[in-house]
Amino acid sequence: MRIRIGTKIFIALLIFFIQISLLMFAFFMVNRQHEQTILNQYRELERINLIKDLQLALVQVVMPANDFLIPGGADDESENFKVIDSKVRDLIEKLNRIEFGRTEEKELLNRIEKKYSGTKEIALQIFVIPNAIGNIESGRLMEKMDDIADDAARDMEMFYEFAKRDMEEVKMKEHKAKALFDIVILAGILSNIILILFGLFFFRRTISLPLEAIRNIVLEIGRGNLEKKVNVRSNDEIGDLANSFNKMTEDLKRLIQKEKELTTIAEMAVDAEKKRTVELERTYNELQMTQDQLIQAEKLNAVGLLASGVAHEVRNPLGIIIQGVNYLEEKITTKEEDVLEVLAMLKDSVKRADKIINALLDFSRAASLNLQPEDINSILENSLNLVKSQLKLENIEIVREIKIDMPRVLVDKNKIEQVFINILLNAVQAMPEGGEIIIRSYDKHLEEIKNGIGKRGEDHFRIGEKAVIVEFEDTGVGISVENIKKIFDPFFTTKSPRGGTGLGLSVSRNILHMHKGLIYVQSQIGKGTKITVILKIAGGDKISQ
Amino acid sequence: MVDEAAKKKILIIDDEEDFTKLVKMNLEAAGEYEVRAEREGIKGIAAAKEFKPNLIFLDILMSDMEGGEVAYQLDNDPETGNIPIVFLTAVAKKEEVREGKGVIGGHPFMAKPVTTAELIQCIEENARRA
Repeated sequence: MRIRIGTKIFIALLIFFIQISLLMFAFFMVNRQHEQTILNQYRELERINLIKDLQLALVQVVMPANDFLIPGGADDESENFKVIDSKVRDLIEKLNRIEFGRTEEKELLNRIEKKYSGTKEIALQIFVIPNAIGNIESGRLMEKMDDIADDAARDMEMFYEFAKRDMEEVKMKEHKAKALFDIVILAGILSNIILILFGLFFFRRTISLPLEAIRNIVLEIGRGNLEKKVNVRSNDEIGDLANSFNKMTEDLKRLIQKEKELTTIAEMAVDAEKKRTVELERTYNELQMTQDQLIQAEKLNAVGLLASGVAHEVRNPLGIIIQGVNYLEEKITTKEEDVLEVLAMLKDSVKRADKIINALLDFSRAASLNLQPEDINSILENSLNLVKSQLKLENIEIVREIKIDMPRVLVDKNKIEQVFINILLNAVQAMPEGGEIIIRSYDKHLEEIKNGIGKRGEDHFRIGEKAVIVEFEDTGVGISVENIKKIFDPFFTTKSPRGGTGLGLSVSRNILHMHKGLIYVQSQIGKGTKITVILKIAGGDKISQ
Repeated sequence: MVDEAAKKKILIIDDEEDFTKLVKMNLEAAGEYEVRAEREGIKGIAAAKEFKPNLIFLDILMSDMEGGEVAYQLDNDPETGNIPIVFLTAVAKKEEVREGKGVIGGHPFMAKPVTTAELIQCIEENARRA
């Protein structure tokens, strides 16, 4: 059953109050009773005194008469007698007024009164006897009076005894009442103490202890110990409080648990994220590498395809040329040197071209470069020589701006020759009406950051690095902006199908890149094209293969 | 001059028309060969059956049909199975031929570009006696 704390306290106080009230009531009652007994005592005492007085008076009452009868007695004895008489009558009246505990006492007093009256009568009679002294009648009356007086005295004695007994009784009652009074006080004190103790105990149990327990729990919670619970004893607000604290502890435990779980999950997630990131990075890097490799492989593949495509495309015409030369050799009977020279040159060219194809096939099979320190100018001259007739044929003029004293370059001579020939042939092709090719060669410390020159790992050259540069500048038709992007693509060509395979520049660039060299194209439609080749100086960085 | 009947019959199957024309001209100019040229593999196979050459020069990389495929068909046809075939390939190197590695699929090959002299030497070495 639910009893609110307020109610409990109220009940406790009520009990206490009722107890106090009862106590006070008892106290009051007992006190009154005690008072009563004391009053009774006083009354008895008074009665006893009255009785004593009466006794005395009754004894005295005969004296005037006696004295009257004694010679030489006073004459005013009747006056004395009257005094005593009034005294006696007064006393008796008083005694009558006092309550009697027994009926016998009343009777007794009546008897005493009667006897007194008798005495009085007699006394009065005596007083009126003339010459009473020595009188026989007076003597006789005196005796009678004495007898009655003695009777009365005996009654008075009994009366006194009664009174005394009553007094004793009253005294005892008083003692009892006093004892009761004391008991009541003691009991009151005790019961108060007990009630107070109970009250304290009760208060402590219903309020202090639970609150203490709660406080302890709070301290424990503060220390992180969530296992302790408040012992809920009472079904009231304190109990509610304890319950809610317990619940709070539970909730807290759960929250902390959840938080731990969430933290763990979060940590796991962070870990997983980290791992994922690391993996992603790794995967990305791998991907990059794979991509690079793929590109490389693709390139090689392309080059492989290229190579076979080129081989096929070129060797067929070469075959035709050879066959044609063979034919001409049979048909031409002249001994003209020029003619023979031309035929020889044709054959030479075919061999030359075939060599290129071979080189290309080698390249496509990842063949190695035969790097030697070479004089770039002599390679240039060789190349020019090989295309000399072509140049003459197309009315191309060569302008040389050659620097002579240059460091050697680390190159595969044949391959660089191929590159130069390719570039020259392209230039020739770009000038169908004839024109001019300016060829420059010089060495220089590279200044600009360009593709391939810079700080990156993949750059072939560093800024400030010394390199050998060869430039081919023609006055040809130039390359359009769209095409410039494509010129290094394999099979890209603007020449007629029989004119070029579109492989020259792509192969040339590959060759140069294998040398860790570079090639750039600048062009303007209608003005001409400039091809720049940059080569590593021998004795500089090793070209790794 | 060798007479017509004694001339060796040479069939050349190659999609490069100028080349086959010149080869025909050169070989026939030598006087000992009768040359027929076909530009397509299918036509070449038909010509082989009909012309019954002593030797077939077969290009490998052709536009309509691969030389290998043509060779396969020729080999597996009883009519043409015993005609010697010599591949002409642009993707081999002359060194490889010289080094004795000049055999592809049971047939010898020559590396383009070939001179007439090389062709004649090849014919003399490989042609089936009629």
